[in-house]
Amino acid sequence: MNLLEVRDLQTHFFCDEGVVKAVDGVDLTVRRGEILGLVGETGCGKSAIALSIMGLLDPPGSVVGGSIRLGGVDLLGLPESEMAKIRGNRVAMVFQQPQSSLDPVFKVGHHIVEAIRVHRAVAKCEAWRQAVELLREAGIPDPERLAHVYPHELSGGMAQRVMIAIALACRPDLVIADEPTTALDVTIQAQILDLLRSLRAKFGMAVIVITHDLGVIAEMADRVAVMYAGRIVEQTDVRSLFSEPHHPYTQGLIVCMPRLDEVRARLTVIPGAVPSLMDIAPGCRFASRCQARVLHDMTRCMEAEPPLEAVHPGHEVRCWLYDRAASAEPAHHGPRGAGAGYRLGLGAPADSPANGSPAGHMPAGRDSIPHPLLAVTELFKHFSTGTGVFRRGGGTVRAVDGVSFDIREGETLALVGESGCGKTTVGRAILRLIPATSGTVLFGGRDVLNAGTAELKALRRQMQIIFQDPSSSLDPRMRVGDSVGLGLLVNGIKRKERDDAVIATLRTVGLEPYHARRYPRELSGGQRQRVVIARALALRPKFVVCDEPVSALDVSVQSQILNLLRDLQQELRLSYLFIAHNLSVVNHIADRVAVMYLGKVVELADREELFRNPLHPYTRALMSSVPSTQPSGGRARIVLNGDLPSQRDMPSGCRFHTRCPFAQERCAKEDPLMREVTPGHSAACWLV
Amino acid sequence: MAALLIRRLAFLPVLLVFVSLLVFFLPRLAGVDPTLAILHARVPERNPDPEVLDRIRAELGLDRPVPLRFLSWLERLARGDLGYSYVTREPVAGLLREGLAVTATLVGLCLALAVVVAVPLGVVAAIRPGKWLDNLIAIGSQVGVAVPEYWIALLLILLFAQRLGWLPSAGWRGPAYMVMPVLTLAFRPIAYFAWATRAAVIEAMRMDSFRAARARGLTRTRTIWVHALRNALIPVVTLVALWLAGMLGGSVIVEVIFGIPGIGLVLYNAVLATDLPLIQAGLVFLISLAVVINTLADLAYVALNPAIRLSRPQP
Amino acid sequence: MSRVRRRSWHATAVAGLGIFLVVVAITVCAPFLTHYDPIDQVLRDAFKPPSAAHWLGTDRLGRDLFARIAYGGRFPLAITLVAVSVSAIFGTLVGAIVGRVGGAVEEIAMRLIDVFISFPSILVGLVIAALLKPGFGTLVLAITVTDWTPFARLARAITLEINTRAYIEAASAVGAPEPLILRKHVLHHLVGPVLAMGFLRFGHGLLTIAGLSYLGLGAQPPAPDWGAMLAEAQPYMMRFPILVLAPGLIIFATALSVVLAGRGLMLMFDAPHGGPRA
Repeated sequence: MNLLEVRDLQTHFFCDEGVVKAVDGVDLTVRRGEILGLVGETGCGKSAIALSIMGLLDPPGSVVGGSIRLGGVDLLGLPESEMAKIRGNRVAMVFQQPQSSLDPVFKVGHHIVEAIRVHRAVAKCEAWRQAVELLREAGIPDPERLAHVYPHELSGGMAQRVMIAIALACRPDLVIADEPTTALDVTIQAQILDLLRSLRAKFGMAVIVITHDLGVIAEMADRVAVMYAGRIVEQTDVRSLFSEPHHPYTQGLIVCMPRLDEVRARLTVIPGAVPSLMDIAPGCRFASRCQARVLHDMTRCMEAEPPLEAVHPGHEVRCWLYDRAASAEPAHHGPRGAGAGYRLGLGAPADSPANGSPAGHMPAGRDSIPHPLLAVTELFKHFSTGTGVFRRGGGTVRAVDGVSFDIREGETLALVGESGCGKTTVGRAILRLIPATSGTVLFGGRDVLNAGTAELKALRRQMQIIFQDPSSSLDPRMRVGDSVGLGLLVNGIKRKERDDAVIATLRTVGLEPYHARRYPRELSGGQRQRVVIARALALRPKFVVCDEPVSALDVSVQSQILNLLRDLQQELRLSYLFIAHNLSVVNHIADRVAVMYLGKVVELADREELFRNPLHPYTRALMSSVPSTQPSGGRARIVLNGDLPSQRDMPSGCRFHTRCPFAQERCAKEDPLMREVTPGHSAACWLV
Repeated sequence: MAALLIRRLAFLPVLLVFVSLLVFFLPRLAGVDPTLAILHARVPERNPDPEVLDRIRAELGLDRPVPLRFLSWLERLARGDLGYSYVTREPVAGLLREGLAVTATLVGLCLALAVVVAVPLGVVAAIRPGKWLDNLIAIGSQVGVAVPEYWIALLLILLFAQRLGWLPSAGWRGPAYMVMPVLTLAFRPIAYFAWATRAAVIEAMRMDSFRAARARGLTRTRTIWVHALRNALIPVVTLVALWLAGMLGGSVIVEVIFGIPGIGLVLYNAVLATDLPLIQAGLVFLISLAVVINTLADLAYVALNPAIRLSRPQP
Repeated sequence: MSRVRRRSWHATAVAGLGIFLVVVAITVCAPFLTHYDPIDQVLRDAFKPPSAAHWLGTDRLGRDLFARIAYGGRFPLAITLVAVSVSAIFGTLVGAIVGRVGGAVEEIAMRLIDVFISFPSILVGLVIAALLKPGFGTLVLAITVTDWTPFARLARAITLEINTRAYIEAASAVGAPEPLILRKHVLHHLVGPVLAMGFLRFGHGLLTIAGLSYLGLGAQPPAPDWGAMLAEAQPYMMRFPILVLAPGLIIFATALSVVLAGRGLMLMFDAPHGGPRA
């Protein structure tokens, strides 16, 4: 018997504006001990399914139809008191934000003890003993001590391990992990995924992994269900999904994901955005964005919604392309099996030279270039963390600890690293949004850090910034046009000229003039990010700091924005400092890449060279931590030990040595400097 | 924590000097002549002989220049000598102490009543938002906040003292005397605390940790009483402490109406009689008390909330 | 918040505003609503019960009670309006500037505010009003001295929250000077919550003013004043409760109406309120 059977689940949210049909008829099956991956983008309803199973839906959401059977028992019919006995006991959940999921006023161990004692008649001291054991199982070092600390003292990775320990407290049959690693750094993500896999092997529970990251799915899942707009559109085992994706949306997701291993000049996109779940048009929900429909000129897609049908045993697809009843055209069944006939641009981009290098790119060169546009030398930024007016009693956080690089005109330098490495601080210090502690920044030969007010204003016209989070980068009470035109206003441009310039800039980024009168909340995430780009471009700068501009966007929108940035770079001869934590995104836009760790640059090289031949152990670990979309059930990878050291308490010598799998004695004593290992490729490591 | 305490209280002397300046010079600004005030307090005569005035001035050292007088007053204050009342000639310190004891009892009872009534009401309202109990409490809290306490006092006296004769209308000689004043004063705190508790509990219920606690198997009700309330108490406790600081002088009208010899009434009489030493020392005393209670409230906030982090790094 | 709940807040806010406007209208249009002179004593008509001639009856000196209530609102309402407006403008400016400037200035300002905000306004008001002799200006001062602080704290809290938003950084990045940032980005976030708090403080201020006038520090006799009318009626309330009920009720109703309006506005603007260290 299956462990979990969800049949025709319908979960609706009754909001003021209308009814959002978040889950609109979903069937899922989970067998004992298997890992089911549930993948989809924001708003597709996957979290709503998890909450429906757990019975944790709060108003205005409620389950309006269908059934959820756990080991034969219908969960939807149970009263709250009975459901509470099942939660945490037979089904447990791990949430996306581990630190905020722990109650800040209770100790870490208390959470586990509570989970145990709610379901089992166990004495308090025995429960604490079990709690410590569970923490140990979850890979927490020194569990006796950590059980008695408060949640805010934990890092993200540690907190997630605690959440996992809590989830396993009563040996549940099923664990639902809702985006368990999305909020974590890539290297920590790798640790957590490893942990989940090993615990599953040990305890044999079933897991539902909910994520938007196909790489995580490839690493973890046995079977996969792809969701779009409240429906399952494809469901099969993980190998088949990646080798023979049938549904156009699945194909689109796989293809427009930034990849480490393939370089394409231009990312393929899925045009448009996820439709609103309130007024659902008849027909297939993906039809408006489906390129297959256009390619094959199919009218049925707009009229009726296809049912979920098996094209092979164990492989179900919801798409008219595979409708058996219709007269199947041979074109649908290509040489590689059903549905492979019209592969979306994989490996053969239609609109750029297929030479793999980003267009508008200068030939590879050395690090110190004559006449660079931007020259950063020995940049330092230290924060003091004392309290009170006089900053007493604290230490120093060495956020940026001696960073140097150059950027040429028209080129993109990517600055990559995980949280706390200082990359964001570098971007802001260069633009003097925060004062640097020391160092030199020369823009076109002019000193930025010491410029006077008037000169700074002139420089600011040429150096701009794009932020990560579109929702906080725009003032919600200002119209789009006013936000974009603020820089022009500051520089004294008159209203008529300003309005014209704003409209022109909006057009450049792919928006329409009428968007100028809208408020940010009326736009989608991708549109808002375009506005942020427009605002940066309004003053016609030559250099733009892009601070994680696509991290907060859905995969299908990411590729649109990345393409836009590249087109703009070509058109307007822009230079970018592209800050990211995601190496695969960087693969599609960077000319050269600098990798940062704890305030220092540890490796710097041309993009191709870096990806082909990474030298520094951290770079190699970073690359191997990125979940690959070639499912191989966890290939040999470099997993780093432990957490990031505190920035107040830097390790001696090479600051990476505490986590480096190749560390030697010398590494703990002396801090290596950046050395050019091959022309154009520098690294800071004793081992290369 | 000790560092925080010291940092906050270090500000106190500076503040006190500042306040003392104000308090000292305000009556002078208003054109009050201390000598006249002293005389009026003892003798009803409105137009005293100027010779008598000069003599008194010289005796009491009131003919020295004002800044010198301020400094010597400050110095005496620091030593704990708060001066003598113009009216009763008793030491001010003693009068203030007695008054404070009475007010503290009144206010203490009042706040205790308020907490015991309001906090559970607030939690219950948060458990079922939008239902009739919640709406009732919402309306009740609005009404409570807008009610003039002097009006309620008069109405209560009218009903229970005059019409029904159950309770005495004024005085402070036993539990029966305490009922109406405490009830009158408790209206507004109950309204505020219930509202604040409800808001704090609802806020706590929105926390990710609330949902995670339910995911562990606690029922909704239990999660509210154990997790949400514990988090909600943090702002509520601070609020109660602030009210305490405010009510220690803010009870003046109630004390006047019910004839309760608390610190409010003491100061009220002092103001009417232009009893300068009492007014000045009293104000400085009450302000210091307010600052100390404020600081303790902040400390409580930190103590109850283990998640206070180090301050953000500042450039 | 559920649909029903939000609508009911909207309704109560509107109702509150409505009642308040009615009260203001009564005080402003008093000459058109009653032909009686509120200070005109007709001793033989003292203590008359409500009738067609005297809608609420008369007081101990034969003065028409309704007229005294109608005219008696002018003084307290005017003072409260001026006091709260001044407090709001001053307090908001201080809070916003301090929130942007930060550093030692902010710390000192916050310590000052922390003390004043909990200090009993009625006691301060009492001392000021008594020592400086009651009058329009003194009473405004008495309220403003402590009433600017909640506005300062609110403005600072909102400004601090906005400080962390990326669009403020973006404004600096395009070179916007500080006053422009304040004007364009901070101000429109303050208007709503400050307005809401203004209503709440109006209620609080009115109760304080009426309390001070009960103690004899308001409009001096024979001018009518709601609080003073309560004190005058106190010796006679057992026999003629209406003399106490009417003035108290109008004070209560006015305060309630602004509190309703203020709370409703607060929820609309989702402002931090009620919290001690907001």
